[in-house]
Amino acid sequence: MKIKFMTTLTPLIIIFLISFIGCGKKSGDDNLVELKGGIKGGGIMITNENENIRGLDPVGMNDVVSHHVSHQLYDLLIDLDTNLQLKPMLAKKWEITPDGLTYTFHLRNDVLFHDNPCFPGGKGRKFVAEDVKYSFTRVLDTRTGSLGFDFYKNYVEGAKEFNDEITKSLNESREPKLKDVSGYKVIDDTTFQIRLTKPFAPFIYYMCLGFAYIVPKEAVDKYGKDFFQNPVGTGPFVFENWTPDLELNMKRNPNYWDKDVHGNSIPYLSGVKFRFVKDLSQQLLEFRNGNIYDSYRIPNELFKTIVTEEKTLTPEYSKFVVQRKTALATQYYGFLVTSKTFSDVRVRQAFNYAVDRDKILKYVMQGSASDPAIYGLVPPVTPNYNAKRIKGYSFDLQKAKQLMSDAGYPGGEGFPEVTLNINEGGGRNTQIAEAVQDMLKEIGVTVKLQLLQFAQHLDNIDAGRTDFYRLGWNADYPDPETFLNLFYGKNVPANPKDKSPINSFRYKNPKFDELFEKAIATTDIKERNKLYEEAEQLAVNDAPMLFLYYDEDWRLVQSFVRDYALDPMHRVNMRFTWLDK
Amino acid sequence: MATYILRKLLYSILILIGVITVTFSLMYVIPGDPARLMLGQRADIASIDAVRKQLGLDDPLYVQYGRFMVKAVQGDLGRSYSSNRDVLKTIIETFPATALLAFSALVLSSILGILIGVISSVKPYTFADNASMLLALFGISFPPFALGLIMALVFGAWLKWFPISGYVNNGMIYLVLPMLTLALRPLSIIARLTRSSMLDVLGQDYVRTARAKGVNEWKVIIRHALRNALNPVITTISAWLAALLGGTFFIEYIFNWPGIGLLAINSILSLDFPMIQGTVLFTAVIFIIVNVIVDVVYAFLDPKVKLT
Repeated sequence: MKIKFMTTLTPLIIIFLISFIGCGKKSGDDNLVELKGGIKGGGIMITNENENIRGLDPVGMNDVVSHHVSHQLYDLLIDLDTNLQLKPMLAKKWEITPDGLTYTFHLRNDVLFHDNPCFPGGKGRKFVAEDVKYSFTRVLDTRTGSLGFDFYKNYVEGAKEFNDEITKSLNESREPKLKDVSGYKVIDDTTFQIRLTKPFAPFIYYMCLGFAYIVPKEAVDKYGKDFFQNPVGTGPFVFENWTPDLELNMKRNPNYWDKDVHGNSIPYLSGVKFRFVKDLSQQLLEFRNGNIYDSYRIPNELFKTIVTEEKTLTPEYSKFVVQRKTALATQYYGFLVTSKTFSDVRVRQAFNYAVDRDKILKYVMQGSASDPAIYGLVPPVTPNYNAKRIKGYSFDLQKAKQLMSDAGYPGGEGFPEVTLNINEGGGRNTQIAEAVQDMLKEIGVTVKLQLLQFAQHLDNIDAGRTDFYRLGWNADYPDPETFLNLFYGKNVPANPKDKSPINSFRYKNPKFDELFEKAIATTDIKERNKLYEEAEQLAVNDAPMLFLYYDEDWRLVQSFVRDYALDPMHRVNMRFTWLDK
Repeated sequence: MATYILRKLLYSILILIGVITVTFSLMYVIPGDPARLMLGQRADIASIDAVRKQLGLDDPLYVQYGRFMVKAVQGDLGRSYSSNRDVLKTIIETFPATALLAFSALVLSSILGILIGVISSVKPYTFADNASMLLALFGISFPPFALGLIMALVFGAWLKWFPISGYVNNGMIYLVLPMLTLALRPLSIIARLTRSSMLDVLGQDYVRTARAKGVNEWKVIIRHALRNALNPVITTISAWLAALLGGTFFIEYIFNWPGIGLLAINSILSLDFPMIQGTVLFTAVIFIIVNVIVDVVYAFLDPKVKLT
């Protein structure tokens, strides 16, 4: 009997594979309806995040991705617009007393929490000032797994005592004896007041942090430790389900309080699907195949095939839309100023002058970064701040050589070999470090590169085990304080053996500290920014870091996605996003 | 037999304790502070210390080890540092994805592997035999993670036949590429083993006798030869079950398949100690259980296996 190999096997395999084709749900089968103003309602926005979310309980929300998701589920008292200016959200308006100590928020009275079994009859109840007090107090309670208590405890009246009592009770294994946080005061259902212990002008931005989302007590009580995966808020979308590593789905909140200028109820979308594809190349493939509607960040190796030198899309990608925005983020190499190698300011300045940032941006970054960091640490895109008044460091090889010579190292002679610590990941870290390594050779400095895993890298920096290292700083909020705090001398521990996680340079300048303290206590924004400028100039002159470049965010978007703006802090807001299919 | 099973179980418990101890020790040798990673770059020392306290990381190592062991015995593997999810619950929720991938790959590789092996053995040294054995050699030698990338590129990006990331909740089509990638190596091994075992059996006297008696060729191959040739193949398939259940890490990562492997890799990247310990422990338990079952079943089936 003849057994035909190919004729037996091949059809089997083909039938097997074909049986799968067509089994998938087609993305983008949206039923859209016409709304006023030419807007279309309905449809599911499919977006992607490159990392997992930590959870959806605001108290633990200090990662960007959780914030992206949560911003669709919860509301804040105050939000930031795409130009990073403050705008009302649950608070219609607010006042700050001239002494900068009392913040009064006037709340909306037409806001409902999402319908959820935690409420009687499953119907979401009205949001009131007591909810703000409850939500903000939770952040101070470390038993909730809060990662945000350190933001508030040093400024809000009674917050430190509250937080300390919890820590103490945990140490002593007993129930805490808690009193209300005196700085959080409910005046009536629509008025909430915060009182600070000392004036701290950037505090208003703390209302825009992820920790400040408003949650109902009923939901936290019902879901307990699992509230982080059963979120209930007042936001434009209602949580549906979340499969970690895979996807998170939410649907439109039909009771959302906000409307657009045409009188349409928002959000327009009938839902949002967050996917979690980690690899940038894979994300791009999925985007090209139409399975996701945006692709944040362009993989290094593909940048030139996607973006032209004029920063437009190449013909292959021209059917998509590219968005780019200078980010509120700066990349730098830190110097441990207390180390023998970098204790001389002239050496640090020489390093700064020896690096040709324009070349790095053009040849290594291939145009994907915004600008060379020649205006210091605070990026020029910071709202209300004139960073361009800061005189930083531009490439000047002669000056660099002269400074090395003045420091006692003519032609780099006698200067020890330095090790630049960089962390793995982060795209171009190695290529940039190699470019800097070559540039520093010109002033006679030999640089050895050491690549470490991020956790170890951070540990070494905190402990002062490395004197030359790569780091970057992304703003928590759009106030120069978030950047300049890195230079604040009071963040340096008295004992040099102790870790110094914020001011890892261990840089101290009493004059800087004086100006910085004065600035953060100044409520007048113009005056405050002037003080920041003076302080920053001092720190830049002392060069505790080698300023590299200001980041730029790039995002590809499907051409039918509307009103989906990219902002300098990469906040995601889909309240007004719609699909024009 | 009871003593045999009891001894196997005892060994398994010792292996588990060893796995827990090694994993636990490794976690604390790895540099980096989870509290620091959780709080981010802005955190001050006091806050980092408070979170370390909250996580129990400030206790001496032996206290942490003892606490972990006691809780692990009670089925409490703690909560994830990075997502706050209950570790055991998360693993149990995630396991079906890994099991689906592993089982489907194993079924595919078993059916096709045996089929190819049988056909090759029936037509030895022909083009079809040489071609399939060459393919099997490729399947054994080629690293699955590299194959996964190539499959994603060719069938996902260029031909756009199959999606390259996602799960079957959006359609069974999402299973194809990860399953094929995972199946290729066991398929190749099973095909080669079936072929050699069949060639051995087909040369036996009883097969010649059956043919001499005029038994239908299909019956000779299936009933007389294959049935006897399958013993070593079934052992290999059983061993592969454990290997596939615990060995889908890279495949899951490449295809964003939400199973234990992806969970483990993400936990390692974020220094999520409880989740790393949980996934390693769970994988070890699966390995041990499958191997104990295979050993016991094998002892039942094959009297030649020593029970002492």
